[in-house]
Amino acid sequence: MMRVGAAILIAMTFCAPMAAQQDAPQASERLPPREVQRLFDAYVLMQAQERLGISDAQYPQFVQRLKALLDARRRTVVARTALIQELARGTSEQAGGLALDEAAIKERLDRLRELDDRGAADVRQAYDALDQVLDLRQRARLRVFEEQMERRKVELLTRARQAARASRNGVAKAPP
Amino acid sequence: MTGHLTPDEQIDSLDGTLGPDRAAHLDGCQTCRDEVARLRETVDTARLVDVPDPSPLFWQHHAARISELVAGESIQRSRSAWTYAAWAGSSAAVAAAGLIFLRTASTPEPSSLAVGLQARDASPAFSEPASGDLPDERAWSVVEDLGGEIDGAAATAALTPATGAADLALEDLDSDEQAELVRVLQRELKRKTG
Repeated sequence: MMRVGAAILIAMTFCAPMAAQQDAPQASERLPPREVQRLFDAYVLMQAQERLGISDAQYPQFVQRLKALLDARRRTVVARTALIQELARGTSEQAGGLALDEAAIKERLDRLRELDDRGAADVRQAYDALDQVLDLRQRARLRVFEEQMERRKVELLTRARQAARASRNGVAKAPP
Repeated sequence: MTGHLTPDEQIDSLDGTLGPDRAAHLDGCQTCRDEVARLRETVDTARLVDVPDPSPLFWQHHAARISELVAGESIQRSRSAWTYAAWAGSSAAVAAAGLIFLRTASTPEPSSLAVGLQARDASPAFSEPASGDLPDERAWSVVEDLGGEIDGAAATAALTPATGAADLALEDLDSDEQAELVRVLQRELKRKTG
């Protein structure tokens, strides 16, 4: 069945550095965040494949283009967060700061605007590329899917935290 | 099929691709029409809403309020599996709001905007586990517990996590939590491939 092959391909594409690991890492073996991110992306892709009803013909291009969308969005969010934190530190009275003078603040605000514009353009371009391989219904489902997936990812994170906490406290783990 | 429209069919209706028999049902069913109208309204609203970033001052006040809450209450953490399952959705949504708070209120090492992900991964603030970070841990607990107090449907509608919030939150996991997450994800992937 193509679906199974596709799922394996996803795992290989997104989780290649983790392929050698048969089991989840031990607590002391903290993975680089990027590796966990790849695993997360693989999960998203597999869900998307199923929920959108991606055909065998669509699949190869869909994988590449969804990955491009995820990367574009993540690049922007990470860069924007870093910039906002610079502004927060540089203009916070409580932090003993006000380290940024007006010129520096203006320069960062300009960068923020430029980043927002560029990020929006990148994401739009990635969506356009994805839409080219999807039919109308799949495009709509992709938008809905993305909303649901954000909630699902936060839920998985919460579950992981609770399970880790329960494990540390020596009680039964949270339900899967 | 004579039942109400499924969620997929409601989306089909918005697309104008609903089959004739189901469209006929929709025409005669007030409940389904209301559902589709709500879905359309939600989609339209989601497209229009642009949530501005609060000022840094807001986060300072927010952090102070969280600390007061934590100091003033003994948080009941134990929760049955049923309760967890019942409120998982609202917990997730509220957690998302908390993630944004944690992300913004923390003080990582300075990073360059230009280097993006590479700089993030190279930064000690992101590559080292946040072990012993008590304020974060307490704030997480408050967020998770508050999740149980919010109506699930309201949370779903109003507290959809900001795009990218979960990705950013990955950085805040300590090694135990990360191992649990990897375990969960691997289990999900195996279930699909198996």
